Amino acid sequence: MTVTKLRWTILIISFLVLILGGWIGINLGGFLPTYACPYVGGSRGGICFLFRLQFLLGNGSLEAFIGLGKHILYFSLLVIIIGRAWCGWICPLGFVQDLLDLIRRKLHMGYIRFPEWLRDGLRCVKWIFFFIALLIPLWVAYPLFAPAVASDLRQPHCQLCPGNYILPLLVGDINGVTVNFKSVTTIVMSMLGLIFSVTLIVGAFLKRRFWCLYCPMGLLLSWYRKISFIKLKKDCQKCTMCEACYNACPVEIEQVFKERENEDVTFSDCTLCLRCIEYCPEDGALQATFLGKPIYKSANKGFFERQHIIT
Amino acid sequence: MQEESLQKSDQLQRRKAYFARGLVRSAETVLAGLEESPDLPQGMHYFINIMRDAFVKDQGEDFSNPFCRQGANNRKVIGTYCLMVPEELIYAAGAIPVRLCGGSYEASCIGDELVPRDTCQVVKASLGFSSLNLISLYRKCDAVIIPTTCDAKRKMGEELSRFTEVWMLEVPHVKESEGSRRQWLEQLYVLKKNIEKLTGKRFRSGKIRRKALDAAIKMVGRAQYEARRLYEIRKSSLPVILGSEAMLAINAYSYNAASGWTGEMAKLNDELEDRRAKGLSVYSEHVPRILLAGSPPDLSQLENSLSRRRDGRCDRG
Repeated sequence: MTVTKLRWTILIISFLVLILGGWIGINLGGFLPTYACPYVGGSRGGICFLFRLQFLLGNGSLEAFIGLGKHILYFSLLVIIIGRAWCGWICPLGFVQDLLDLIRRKLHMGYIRFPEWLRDGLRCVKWIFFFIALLIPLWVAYPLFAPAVASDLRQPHCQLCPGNYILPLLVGDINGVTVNFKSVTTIVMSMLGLIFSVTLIVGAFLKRRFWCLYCPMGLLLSWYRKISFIKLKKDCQKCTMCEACYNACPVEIEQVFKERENEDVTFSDCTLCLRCIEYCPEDGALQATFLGKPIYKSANKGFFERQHIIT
Repeated sequence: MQEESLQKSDQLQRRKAYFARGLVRSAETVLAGLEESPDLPQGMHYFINIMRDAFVKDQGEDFSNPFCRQGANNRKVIGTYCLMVPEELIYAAGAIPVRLCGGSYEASCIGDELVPRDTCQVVKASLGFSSLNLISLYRKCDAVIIPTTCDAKRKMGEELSRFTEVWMLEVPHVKESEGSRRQWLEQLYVLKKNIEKLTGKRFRSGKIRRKALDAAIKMVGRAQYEARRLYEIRKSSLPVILGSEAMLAINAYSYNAASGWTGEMAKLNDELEDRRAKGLSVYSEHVPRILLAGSPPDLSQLENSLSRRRDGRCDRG
């Protein structure tokens, strides 16, 4: 079984558990570092950390902040264990994007690659989302000005998040996929959310893992990469700079092939999908380690086998 | 006046004949020398014959090599001047790639008169072959592709375009920058168009199709796999094959269909692995080895590395 197949299997299973698991009584808690959208309704198998973060910040009471500390602790533990593999292997929205990517490949279409300047320019988007999720709930909790607007801004990131619109749609709930006409604020927010959802669907069809570069959850997870148990390592002596890893990378991290000095190549955008290792033609040039022990190494044999050059 | 030009052409004819004899003699010396070697693996004969077809038996009338002879039967032959040229595109278009890159000391003497003294031997020999128009490999090429890998090759294109159609392929010299990646891709699209234009007499027939390209990539990939296997075998401390032999076997790829070469290479590799398992070696483990790298391995260099005391390990390209 190749790593890609294993990843697909886990993606499908976790999608089913997180989106439909509620029907058979699965509840994994409210601190999941992945887009387990609570708006899916009763069938949800867990709740996204960002939802609870906004909820507790927006509450503003002392108990809520204490609860938040506990929440962040559980969240941190989950992230430290497998790092951003949550994005590459578990995230339901990542699964939707991979599915669209699969359809594109079956149609023999190419994909778009953004030039580096555009990538750099869009790097601020996830920070904007992050601050929306962090600061607006505080305004909601302590509405010092414009309280009428603030009251309509509960869960501000959720109102913008494409997962809020796409994931319920996948379980047949079309009620959420409308503009909320309650007030001007909700109209603007739900319009933006719908625009982002359409952007994600079109984008993911044309570009691999389109939304992952703008996801604030990914930003949160990337802060743990230095202490996370799972790491991507490179033996720079063995690398021939063939760029196979760069071309295989769904989030198009250039540094992974450019790196010539440091062993650690777990970059902040890396979703640990391990495709780079699978596609690397050099024995042991790239490897994934868990607590320092190698769990998956690149191999020349695997490279040729994957291309059906040898069987 | 007429007499003078007649005399000149007569001189040229004689010079050509002299050159052809010299070329055949030196090539045959090298190949016969290799064949006499007591430790020659059985699988090597195929590659030696390929080289003999290209340089000894060939008298410029037609290819003596069956692979290249297909070129005479309405398939186009495209000469390439280095490993950087994507042969997959040429195969996919139904044309035949042959790798040129000089290959004879005699030819380089001819080229000496066309370029400055300090030009590299590869360029001199390539120009020598092209100007003399003697060997089918150089005569029958419908076009040649020259990647700008080094300074001399960059300048060679202009000189060579006097004899044949030349397509330059600008190889970016910096890998890391995004600009050079884009540039390389653009180059390949232009090359694809050029090849399609050359091969496509009728609408669609010469187009490079997805399936054909896929098959070509796999075919060349298989050849690369076998070449890699040979180097893996040669990495072992026990030398199971002479450096010059390995060099010749690798080099025969240039004058042979990738698929045929791969099959024979697999046989040779199996034989060598068998030798290694039995502990057979061409000489003792402690003989120092010399690494030859950089220039393309050819018959003229083979001559130098033929000495039994040396083990030339040379990279392709």
